[in-house]
Amino acid sequence: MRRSRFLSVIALISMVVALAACGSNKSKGETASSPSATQSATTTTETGLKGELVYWSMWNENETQATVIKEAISAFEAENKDVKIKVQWNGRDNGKLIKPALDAGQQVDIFDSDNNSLSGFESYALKLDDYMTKAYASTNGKALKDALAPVFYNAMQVAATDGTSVYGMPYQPYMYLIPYNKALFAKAGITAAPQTWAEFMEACEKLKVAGITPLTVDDAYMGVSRMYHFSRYLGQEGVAKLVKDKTGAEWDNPTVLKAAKDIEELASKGYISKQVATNKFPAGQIEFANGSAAMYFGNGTWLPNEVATVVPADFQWGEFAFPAVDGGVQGREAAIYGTQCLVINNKSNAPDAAVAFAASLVTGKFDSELSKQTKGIAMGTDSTWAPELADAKAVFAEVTTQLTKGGGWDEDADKNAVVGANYIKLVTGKITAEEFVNNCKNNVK
Amino acid sequence: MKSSKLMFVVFLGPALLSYLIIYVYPVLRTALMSFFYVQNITDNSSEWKFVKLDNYINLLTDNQLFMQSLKNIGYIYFWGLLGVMFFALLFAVILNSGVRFKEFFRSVLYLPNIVAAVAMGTMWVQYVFNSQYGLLRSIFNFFGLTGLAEFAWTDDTHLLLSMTIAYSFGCIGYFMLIYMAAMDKVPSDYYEAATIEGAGIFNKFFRITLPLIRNVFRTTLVLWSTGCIGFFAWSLMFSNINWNIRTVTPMVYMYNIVFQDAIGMDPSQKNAGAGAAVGMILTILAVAVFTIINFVVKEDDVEY
Repeated sequence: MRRSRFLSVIALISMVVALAACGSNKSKGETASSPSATQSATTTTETGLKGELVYWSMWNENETQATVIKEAISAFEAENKDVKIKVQWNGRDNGKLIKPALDAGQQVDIFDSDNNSLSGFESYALKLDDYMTKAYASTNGKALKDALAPVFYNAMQVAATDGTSVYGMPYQPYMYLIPYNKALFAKAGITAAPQTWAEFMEACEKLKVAGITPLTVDDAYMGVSRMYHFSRYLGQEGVAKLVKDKTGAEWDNPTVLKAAKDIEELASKGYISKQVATNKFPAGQIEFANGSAAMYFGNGTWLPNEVATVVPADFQWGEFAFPAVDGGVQGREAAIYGTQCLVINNKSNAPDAAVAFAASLVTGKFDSELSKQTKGIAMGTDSTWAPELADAKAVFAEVTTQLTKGGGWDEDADKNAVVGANYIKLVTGKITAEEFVNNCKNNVK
Repeated sequence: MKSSKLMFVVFLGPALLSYLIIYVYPVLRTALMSFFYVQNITDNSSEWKFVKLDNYINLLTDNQLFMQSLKNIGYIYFWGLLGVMFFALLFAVILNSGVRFKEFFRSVLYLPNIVAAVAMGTMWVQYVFNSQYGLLRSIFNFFGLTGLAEFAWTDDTHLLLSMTIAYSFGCIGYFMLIYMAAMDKVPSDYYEAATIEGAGIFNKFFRITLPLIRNVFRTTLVLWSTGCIGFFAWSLMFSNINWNIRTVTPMVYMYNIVFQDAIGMDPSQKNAGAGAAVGMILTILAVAVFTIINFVVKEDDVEY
């Protein structure tokens, strides 16, 4: 008995010590942040930027993006001796981790989001409208707003609930388009990238005659052509009506059948690679990268980066906007595009330093570097785009309308998946356009 | 030694407290959440909107995708169970019959279990089932079975079958080990006596082994059921980036409506409340399955 009481006392003591240790950790954290609270008062003085920043990143530490961001941080810290930036590389799970962290009051000064999720973070985000009118070291004397490509700056405004405010600093943008192999196009005697569906079909025919498989796609990106093709014919609102249709009447619209017929024709004329039926991502990308297919039927501008290690060194990249259709509601000016963005926490103790760092990443040297290293799109008007995306730059120049992430189909995620299952069958030639429309009509309502 | 109340408190307290905080609280919160519209899983409960039974009604009446996900795990449960139990028992009997290199074969068969599901899934999808240079294609071509070599394992129609095969393949070694352990415990006298009486291998298996390891069946059924109800990683591996109606399972469905981060999904349509309802439906399903198993496979007095 004595022994057990002794044991319990030991146990109690150890618990108390453990608890006390937890407590002291916490207070350490609090005291660590309190000096920066006093620092924030001096942040905006002319003596320069100060503060300890914590950045929660959507990149993994070994990704190219992270390498460039690390360089940008070193450069920024070298120029601003009193600023220290710590990064937590969360990878793609960042989007799921960030909100609980913000709610719990953890110190996160800068975090990654994307334009589609931005409105959900408005209550946590610093409004950047005033900052956008200032010039920064990397903006060549221009206001930050003018140093950013208008199409991306607008994307930030569109993402805001009020449609005018800016809550994120855009970077690493993307667009869904059709990447193609210029060498194979030249071999088939195609001199210009197709702009209309008729030209697209013509190009497919020429490729086929030349013995080249015109199109490939993976299961993962199967939806891209559906998002574009149907919204070209019906407009984004028209597509949204289809998924929300409870009567089936919307599917009786002859234009829906026409759009489906186009896809059926692609399959029946043998323009789509036989592999597509069994392609599991990234098998189709590999097929395209090693020159077995001339076009990828809808992918993001990140494709050159994703297949960088697979393509031959002399691969000739080309991109064109999803073709316009006869009598369509929307044309090539409408595109599904978006950007990642750096969001500044409105509770940050050093917001000025955070904004200045973000600006140094999205414009000037590091913007160009990010574009070059990631074979991606540059954000600043003065920055250089990766050569692989030279055509994409021209596509972007034409774009005036931003479609939603799913081109209207995203209005109902469940129905979207149901339509998607039928679309795979249509693309692979297992069902006709009529069957596609009927199946969707019966399944969706 | 007399029991000391203080001892109970000190040693049971932390465990009980962690159990309440880590297990009971989330379960109760999830149950409550399933009656609300909650956009983000971390939203404060003051932002929840009470929707009565709407989440359940939407899932169970007007939701082809969720219904399909239930059918999919039903398919995996039934066909996978048949295949896995057959091969696991077969291998267990063979290895227990005194073959040479028993330990080696046992390790080889168990090997898939120590490899992460993600790695295994990638191997099956990208290599074994590949329609260009896949393992199955090469093997069938080698034997001149061109028809089988052309079989489209990963196309839309066969994806669920392929996924079930890939998942079950890894499970065989696991269940085989459980059966082997159970068979080891059956006293060898029975077999010796049976041999003297002239019983063959089939008689010994059906009249001695099977009845005496009956209890283990219950355990394996429960393990198989939990695996199927929580089917998640393999489904994601077979339809990466986007969800697919052929491979969607309730867990994948729940993940998607809670996070909505696949291509073409609108993050503003997140609904953690509906996700919670899926969780509750799965809980009820699990309880129902376990009750049936307990009812069908009765506990035995004899256990080895």
